[in-house]
Formats: sequence, structure tokens, C-alpha cells
Amino acid sequence: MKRRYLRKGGKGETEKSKKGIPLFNKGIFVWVLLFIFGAIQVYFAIFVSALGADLQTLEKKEAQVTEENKVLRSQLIESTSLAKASENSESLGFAKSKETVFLGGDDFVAQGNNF
Amino acid sequence: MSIRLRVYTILFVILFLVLLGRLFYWQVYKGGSLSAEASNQYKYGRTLEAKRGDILASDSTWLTASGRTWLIYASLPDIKNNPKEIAEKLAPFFVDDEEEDYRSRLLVEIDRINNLLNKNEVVWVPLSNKIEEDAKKQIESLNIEGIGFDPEETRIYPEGSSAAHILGFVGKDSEGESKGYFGLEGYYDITLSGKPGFLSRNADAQGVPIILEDERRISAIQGVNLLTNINKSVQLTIEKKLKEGIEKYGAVSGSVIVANPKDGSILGMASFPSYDPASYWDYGDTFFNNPAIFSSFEPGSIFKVIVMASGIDAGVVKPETKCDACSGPYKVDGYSIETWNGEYRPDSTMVDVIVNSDNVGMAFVSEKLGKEKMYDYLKKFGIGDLTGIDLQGEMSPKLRDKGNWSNVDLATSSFGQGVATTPIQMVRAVSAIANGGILPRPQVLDKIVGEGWSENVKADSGIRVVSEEAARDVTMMMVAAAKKGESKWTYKKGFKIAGKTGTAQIPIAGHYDEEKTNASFVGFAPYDNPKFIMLVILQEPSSSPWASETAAPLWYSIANDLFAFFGIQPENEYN
Repeated sequence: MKRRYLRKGGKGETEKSKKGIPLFNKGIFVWVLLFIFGAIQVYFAIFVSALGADLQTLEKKEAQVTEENKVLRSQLIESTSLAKASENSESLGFAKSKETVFLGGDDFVAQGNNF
Repeated sequence: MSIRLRVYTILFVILFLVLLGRLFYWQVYKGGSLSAEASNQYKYGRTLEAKRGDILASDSTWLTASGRTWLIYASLPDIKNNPKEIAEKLAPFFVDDEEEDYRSRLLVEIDRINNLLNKNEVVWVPLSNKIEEDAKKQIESLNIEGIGFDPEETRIYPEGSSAAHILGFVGKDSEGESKGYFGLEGYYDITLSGKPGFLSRNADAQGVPIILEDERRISAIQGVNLLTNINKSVQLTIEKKLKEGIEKYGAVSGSVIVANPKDGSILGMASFPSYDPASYWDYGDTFFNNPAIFSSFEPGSIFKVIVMASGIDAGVVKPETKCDACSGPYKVDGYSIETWNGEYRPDSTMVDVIVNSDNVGMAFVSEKLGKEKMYDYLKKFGIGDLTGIDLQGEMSPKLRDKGNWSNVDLATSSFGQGVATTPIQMVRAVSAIANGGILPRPQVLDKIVGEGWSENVKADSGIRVVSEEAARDVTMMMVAAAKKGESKWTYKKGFKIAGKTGTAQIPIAGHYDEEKTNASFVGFAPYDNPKFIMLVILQEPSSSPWASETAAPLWYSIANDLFAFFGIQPENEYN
């Protein structure tokens, strides 16, 4: 069947509409749709694939940061050692007081504990 | 034409059937295994590790924490260099250069590594583990082909072997999984462990995850941190002083426990000999038991305060009650009970009995108390029962059954002989006296701390075992004992101290050793509002058998530091 597109307001518009002839070609519409879907499929396949690669990169970075965090955490923990601070205190010029002087609330002067 | 068509038709059918058969073979018969093989290629799974919780001191700094070390291995097919040369390069990293026989140990290590690298029947051999980050970097810089590293979780101990008996250690169970043993690690193993998770998903040939495909993730549950009552300053102080004390007094071993008598929280606990939890495998099993909660001993005279508190609470004696049996040795069922120094004081009051640590006076109290009441009170004080301290490995010697007490048992137990306790039981029982008659439950843990939450796990408020008046009376007896008793020479004037010495003979094979003793001192300060209670025990001191010359001065030496630490001021004795 010969198909024609009719211009709006043209002579044949009334005739063709009456006979139920489509206003545009169905075949081309299907092919366009298929092309669009195909393109979307390809686009999302690439997009998702790229997302997977991004995820892998992020996971590697996360592992690297976790690794560095563990090292820093270990250093932090080691640096809180009271035993090591005590060992180093003398070389840093600190010394344990030989006498403790206690001050009472009503006292005018300090009292030693060696009475 | 018709025949040719038939032949082609038959051939076509045969080929179709062959093809169908072949398809059946691949799709159905071999389908399962092929599917599994394919799955192996694109399925990717890994365990999501659950970090073991940290154990923190009361100031939230670490006693132990999860850390990471490395296992170094050799992939034998990838080894390109001479194994001997590799062994010589690696061995120095595995041997401690501060050890005395470093040279010979190094040679042994080179030989060991060389043997491993020359194995034929395997492709992968572990060379060493617990390799620190710095050592790993140095080994990597050597660029030895075929040598690799695998991470392994470990425990970091910033204070070294300090508090080893409290912490316990993390080892492997029969299935190779990490497991806590002894101390807090053992007691709170499930809490600390957490639960590993798992991630399963599809990946392409390069290992890139395929996002739209099925992914299953079971999140890991991280281990919970434990915030303890352990005070690092107290812990390090008692460890240092105990070590010095053991050397000074020539003792075989010793223990010190410092606790808050009001709520039973353990502030410090040390025993020697000890071990290093970071290398626990270098020590024998006997080192792992915590003597403070595991070792039973006859307490000797420090037990007298418990019996005296029982006697006063039961109303059979008062502080001013005079002992009418104290003029000489006390005879019971053919046995003679004597004082420790052979001196007898007729008409001693109960205060004098405690001050002079009078065995005869205590036998007098026990006779008044009677067997049943004695048993009931000792039970109430927790003697013969586990204290319930939250450390794995607690043990309790059995208290003689109620109906099996002879008159001699009653008399000797009144001064701490013929009855066995653990150090923690003694601390708990005397805490009841310091705490106005209420027996606390000893506890190491203060809080459990998770991500953004915490929960108090304080012990219950305790149970009353004697009246407040009885506790106060015995406290004042202990104050007098500290000031005027046999350890008065070491008493620290000005401070409100209640204390009692204990020198106990050691039972061996049905009799008591004539020379060896266990020396102990238990005390608390300030006696009217105690900030701490401390028990010091020295096993078999050789400088002197008497507690007044060994355990007591060590107690005061430690207390001197604790006074400053707790801000305990002296009272003005001039007023």
C-alpha cells in the first residue's frame, strides 16, 4: 500500500483520515525505538562497567587509607605508653620529688609529712 | 529423488540426535561442574574482618589494642636468587640482636630459612610471622623475588608486659581461630571478638565488580572495647615496687592488689613472676595463671580481722572484752596454741589481741563464736567461694564442710591457719570492713564501649555481712595495729591507715615448714573514707620471715606513692 504523509489542512486530510490510514510510518518508528533502546543499553552497559571500575578504585583507596590508618593508630597507641614516658622522663630532665609537702586549708605555712 | 530425500532426511535426523545428545552432555550431564567452573571465574568473595576490641585503662588509654603485623612467605617457584643468599639477607630481621647469643641464633636462623627455601614438595612456605611494619618495608626494599607478605591481626601492648595477668593473651583455638585466654581476654572473649562478615559478588576477567549482578554482603560486627578500672599509674607503681620488693626481701614470688573498697573496682593487680603476653608462647603454662585470683594460701594473721568482725557482729565479744584465756598457751583437744613471740598478756582486750596479733586471744574469740557461726560468717565473707571477679582463671580453695570442724580447726582458723584463701578473697573480705560491713564484688571492667555507645557494667552494690558498728570497731583495731603493732616502725605518721600484718607458715606434707613463711600486709586508707585497699603478699621472703619486716614496709612504700596519687592528705597529729 502506498503511504503518504499529508500536510495539515491539505485536500486529502479529510479523505485519508476517514479511511484510517496512519499519519506516520510504523516501521520507521519501531526502528527508531529499537535504535534508542539499543543506544541506551550500550550507554548503561558502559556506564555500569565504568561504575564497577570506579567501585574497584574506591575500594583500593579505602584499603590503602585503612592500611595507613592502622599504621598511624599503632603509632598513636605506642606513643601513649606511660612506661616509655617514664623511662624517658629522666633523660628529659624530670625527676621524682623526694618530699611531698601538704598544705592544709587552715595552715599558714606548708607542713612536711616527716613529722 | 525420493531415496536421496530419504537419505538426507535420515542423515539430518541422525545429526540432529547427535547434536541433541551432545547438548544434553554439556548442558545436563556436565552442566553442574561447568557451571561451577564458570562461577569460580566470575564469582568473587572475601571475608570482612572484625577488629578485636581494645582493652583500655581508666583514662581511656590503651592497655592492649588490635594491631597488624605481617607473615612473610616464600613462593618457591618464583625464587630466582640463591636460597642461601636470601636466607642470609632475611635472618637478621627474625632474630633479636639484643639477645646474648645473637651470633649463634643468627646462624641457626639462616640454616632454618635455607632449608625451607630448598624444599621440593611444596610451592609456598611461611618463613616467619609477627613481622613489624618497619621490618616489612626494609625487607621489601631488598627486592627479593618470590618473597611476599600476608597481613595478620595481632595485639599491641604499649605498656609491654605490664598487667599481663589481668589482660591474658590472644592465641589460636583448635580450628586456628583467634581466641582469648586467661584474664580479660578470656573472660570477655565473645564481647571482644566481634563477628567477621562476608562479601560475595560477580566480577569480570579483570576483577572489576559487575554492579548489576547479584551481590551479597553480611556486614562484620566489630568487637567491643573494654574500659577497665585499671589505673595505669597505680599499675606501673605496684609492678615496679613489687619487683623491687621481691629482690630486696629475697622472696620467691609476690602479689599486690589495689582496689576501691567501696565498689570493689580493681585499680591495679600485679604478680611476679609474670610473662609477656606479646610472646606468651615463650613461657610455660604455669606463668599464665594469675596468682592473685588463682593461688591459695593460708592467710595467717590478716585473717584475724575477719574473725574478730564476726565475733563483734555476733555479739560474743566487744572491743573492750577482756580475754580470760590469754595468760598462757591455749589448750584444745590435746594441742597447745601459743602466741607468735611466746609473750602472753593476761586480760588483754580485743583491741590488744589485734594489736599484738595474739593467737590465744583469737582462739578465745573463736571459742565464743562457735563452729557453726564461724562457718556461717566465713561463708558470708566469701571465704571458700569464687569472688566472681571478671577475670578468667579464678579458683577458690574449699572451706571445710560445716559439720567437719573440730575444736582445733575452729581455734587455728581464727588466726588464719588450717584455712585457705586466695589473695582476691582476702581483699574482698577486708573491703567489707573498710566499707562499713558491706561486701563488694571485685570487678575489673567499668564500661563496655562500642561505636558511639557505651554501657556501664558496674557490679551490684554488695551485701551486708556485718553491722556498720562491728566494721567500725574492727577498723579502729586495725588503726591501732598499724600504729602500735609489730610493724609500727614502718608506720607512716600522719596518715589515716588501718592495717594488719600476717605471717603464715607454709603447710607441707601434713606439717608446717619450720623456716619458710608467707608474709602479707592488708590495709586501707584513709580509714574513715577509704580511697584504696591494698594487699601485699610475699612468698618465702629470705631476708626475714616476718611480715612486719618485709610485706609491711613494701606496703608503706607503695602507699606513699598512692597517697600523693589519690590526693590523700595527712592528718595533723600535733592537734
